Amino acid sequence: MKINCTIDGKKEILKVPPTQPLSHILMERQPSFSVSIHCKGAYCGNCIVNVNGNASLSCLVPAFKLEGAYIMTFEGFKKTRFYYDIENAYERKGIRPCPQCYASRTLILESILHKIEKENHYKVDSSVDRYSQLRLDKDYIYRELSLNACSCVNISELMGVIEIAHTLRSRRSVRRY
Amino acid sequence: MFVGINTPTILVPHSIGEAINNKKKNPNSIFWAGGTFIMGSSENFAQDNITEIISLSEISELCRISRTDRYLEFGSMVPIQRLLDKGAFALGENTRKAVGRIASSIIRNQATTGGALCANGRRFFLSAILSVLDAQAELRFFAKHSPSKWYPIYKIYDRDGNFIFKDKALLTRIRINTEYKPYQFFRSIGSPMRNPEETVIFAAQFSISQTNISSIHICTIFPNAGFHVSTDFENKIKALPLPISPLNTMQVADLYGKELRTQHPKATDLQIEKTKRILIAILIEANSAFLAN
Repeated sequence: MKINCTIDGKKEILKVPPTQPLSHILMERQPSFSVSIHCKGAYCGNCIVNVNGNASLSCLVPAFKLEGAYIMTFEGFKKTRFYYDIENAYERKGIRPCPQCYASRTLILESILHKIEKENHYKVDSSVDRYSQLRLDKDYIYRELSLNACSCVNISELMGVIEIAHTLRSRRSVRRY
Repeated sequence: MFVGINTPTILVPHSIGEAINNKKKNPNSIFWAGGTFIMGSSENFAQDNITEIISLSEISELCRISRTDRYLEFGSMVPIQRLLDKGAFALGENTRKAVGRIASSIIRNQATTGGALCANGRRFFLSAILSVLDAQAELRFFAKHSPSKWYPIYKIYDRDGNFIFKDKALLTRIRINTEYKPYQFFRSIGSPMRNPEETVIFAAQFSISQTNISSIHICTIFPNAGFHVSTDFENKIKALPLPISPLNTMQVADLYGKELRTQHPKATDLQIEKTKRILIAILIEANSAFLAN
């Protein structure tokens, strides 16, 4: 089956079996740092990539669903400015996930930050400030972070990373306007 | 792993009729909704007899959400996250929170409501939530002279939690009555995908009238071992005067445990013990709600 899609900004034509998981395709295409293990759909949470703007477990996405899709792996995400906020937040908090889960954890953090920003965007003139909004969504953040089954980092520490990254990002947006 | 095994043909119908015709032509073909369950279990996925996959994602009728003053109606291909985003006001706070506890949003973006209800051999939180809310599912039958029919969600499963109408009908729409009872409890302990043998899903909805619990609905799910809805047990709880004494609470929980053990022999002791504890917690909450009024 021929599939036209865009991977990390490059247009590609993939010739793959229609039911091959995206994680396999990425592993075969170029052995990368981010997607290096295939858990056979055991929900380990270590193969997250961005498909059409949404974070997805690549082991659950079959090839036939990728026609015309925009795929961004961790390698592609590293080139964006959003990555540096998260990297900076890791450093400030003094933690670093293990190499196995680093990529997918970072992409989960990015999807959470994106969601928080989106919700705040709709609540510009409400009395709820950003930090209380973060506290309100604590359950949501815990659930998102627990998608990755690796136990190298405490989830409460990652909550701290999110708060720092969110602060960095909101400061930058204030400066811009 | 995947190269070398048979490569099935992918069919992408644009209407329900076309999808059903495809299924009739090749009974071994499978319907593909979100794919999170099929891709997540290799024993389901690499079946040699699957020669065709019917992808339902392009059928616009199955992707709609609509609301009347009494019902929230949505197609079976609506992703769970979209149901949460678009149907938030109609769902009510407790239900919205419960649906938000299904996996993480990364999975919910991909998993569809129909897929979660019809997954082969495993039941999820959504089945319990919809069962307790008196939701109904529209099934479009493959047989020539059978029209579509609405069924209550709890009637589409057998005792082991299998979808009764597998290979007989396509689940097209789901309808939830938006008039909810005041007390709703939705609990999911464990992960039905990672450790189904330890997971318990429990949902209950009731109202309190004078000194009794009235119109109660309880649904217990052991993801790989059973789907339990018992009107007899619900009637027994209705007969108890509030506040329920600690002794009665324990007796009721033991009774429920025995009932589960006899009807679902595959359920583990841990699952049954967890269910009893959840039931006790809910009865205690019913007591406190009654005393607070």
